[in-house]
Amino acid sequence: MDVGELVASFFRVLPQALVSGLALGSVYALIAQGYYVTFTTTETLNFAQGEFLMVGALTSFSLLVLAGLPYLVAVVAVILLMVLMGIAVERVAIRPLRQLLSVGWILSTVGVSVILRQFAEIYWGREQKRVPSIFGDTPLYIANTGIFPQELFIILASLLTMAALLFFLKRSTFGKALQAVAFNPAAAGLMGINVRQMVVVAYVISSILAGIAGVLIAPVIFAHAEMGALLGLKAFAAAIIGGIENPVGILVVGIGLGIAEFIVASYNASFRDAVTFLLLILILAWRPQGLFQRVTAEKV
Amino acid sequence: MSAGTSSAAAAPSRTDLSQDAVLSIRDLVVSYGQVEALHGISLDVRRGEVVALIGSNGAGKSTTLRAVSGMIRPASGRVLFEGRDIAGMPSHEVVRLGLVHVPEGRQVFANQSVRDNLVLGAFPHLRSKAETAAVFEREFDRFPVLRERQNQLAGTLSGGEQQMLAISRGLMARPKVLLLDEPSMGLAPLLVKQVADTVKQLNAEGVTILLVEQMATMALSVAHRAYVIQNGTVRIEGPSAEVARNAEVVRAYLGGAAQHELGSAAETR
Ligand SMILES: Nc1ncnc2c1ncn2[C@@H]1O[C@H](COP(=O)(O)OP(=O)(O)OP(=O)(O)O)[C@@H](O)[C@H]1O
Ligand SMILES: [Mg+2]
Repeated sequence: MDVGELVASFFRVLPQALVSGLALGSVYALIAQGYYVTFTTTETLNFAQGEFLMVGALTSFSLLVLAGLPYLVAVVAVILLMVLMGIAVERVAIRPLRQLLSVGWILSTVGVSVILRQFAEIYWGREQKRVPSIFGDTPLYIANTGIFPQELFIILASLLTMAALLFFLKRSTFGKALQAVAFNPAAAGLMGINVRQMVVVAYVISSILAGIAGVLIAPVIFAHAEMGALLGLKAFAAAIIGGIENPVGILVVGIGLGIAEFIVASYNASFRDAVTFLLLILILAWRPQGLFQRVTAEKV
Repeated sequence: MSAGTSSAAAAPSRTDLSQDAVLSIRDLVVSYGQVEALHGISLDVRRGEVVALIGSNGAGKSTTLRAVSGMIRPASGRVLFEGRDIAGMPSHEVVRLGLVHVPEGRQVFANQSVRDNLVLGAFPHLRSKAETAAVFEREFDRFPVLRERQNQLAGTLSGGEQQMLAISRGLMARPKVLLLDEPSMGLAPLLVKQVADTVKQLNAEGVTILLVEQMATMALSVAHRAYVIQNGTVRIEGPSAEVARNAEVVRAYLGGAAQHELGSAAETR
């Protein structure tokens, strides 16, 4: 394949990759905002975030397909379940280990992810579940580029969720308190802020984001016990490269990652994940502090 | 009770003190890990008073304040605030009682605006919009520079401005008793005087103050009474004027030259 052909084929696959990549990438960003919220407040994060997404997706399958409940009811139920799971993971896997200057929470949250995967296999079985989109499965065509209504919905819903989150964090008194806890927990306590409660809230927010991501993405990829691991990991990559304390960077990199992945996949689907991670490793080698972090570290 | 009458009263006995004390610390013991930092401190602060807590580096002044405000849990002893034992109560609950701690080193939220720092100070008391605006005005009138810089990040303020912000932020929580930890630390002499004036003014507004200072001169000039602590125990206590004349204090904390000037300053207080 000569260069001209390669360029031509690139521009042929680009529109479709942009559309599908935008949808998948905004889901990565949504998951990764959860890492951002807990990491800034506690310097810990939930490595089972992908499995929380999986539980959200499979629960939406049970509620929508098996129980035939209305969409809104299912969404609210998943959010409530995520509130409980967020409280539980903070209490069991984070709080006991946070005080020690330790990385024990990495082990404990990875442990939670394994437990959730096995539980899901037992409860929902190994097979992939199809969750139909409430918007149907007929793609819309815009300038020869097919887009599923669900993909449009994913993009809109995740962008709206993130906008609401950021507005809440930056503008509400509660968000300011959360930032204060992140900056200086001891001083935040002197302001009358219950630091321990804020940490729980951070984990609840993080879990809700994962749950929403799961409900959104279930109709475009199949829901199954193993679906969360790679999604959680790619979202983690978006957080590291975008800057884990930089929600806008996370959004940009999350979307970029989704698009890059679809471009690779349109040449060779089986290289999709390998090439994507190779790319991520190269970017990290080039800019270890992430793409948008100012270079402050000393040169070695 | 006005500040004037309390200092004019004859030196009261220990029992009298604890009876009308708004804050009483009794036999307070605090340890950091295996190391005991306070070995049983007792002191009283009466309503309307300014009480100075002086002592050299590492004496345990900050530790005392931290134990009172719930930043650290005392190993034993009592902290009576308005008659209620609050030892071991977490800091976010203590501040709601009206016992407000402005910590050592300012500890403003550097990555948030001056205004947001004040909003956080008011966190324990959700107010109406009008009420909030009024307290903001009050603090901006107290420290006009904060009004000018309200939209700036707190981290961009100078040391003196950060101290003003830290005090204002504490005042947003409606203190009955204010614990001030080294408000003059690192400030130029002119600003130290301004801090002293602020302390007097707050006291005149009815706020009871426990003032920690290494700068004994300043502290003794604004306080009604003083405690000198050394190695985690109270060594000397009494009215400021007396403490300022104490030979040991003069030698250790004041230096001979400052003595006369200070003695008279404390007298007039
Ligand atoms: N976080 C800590 N961990 C361990 N030891 C501490 C800690 N903070 C203070 N100490 C020790 O406790 C003792 C009292 O310290 P404290 O900070 O209360 O002194 P201070 O009187 O406030 O001194 P300074 O004037 O320097 O602020 C010191 O010996 C100090 O080393
Ligand atoms: Mg100190």
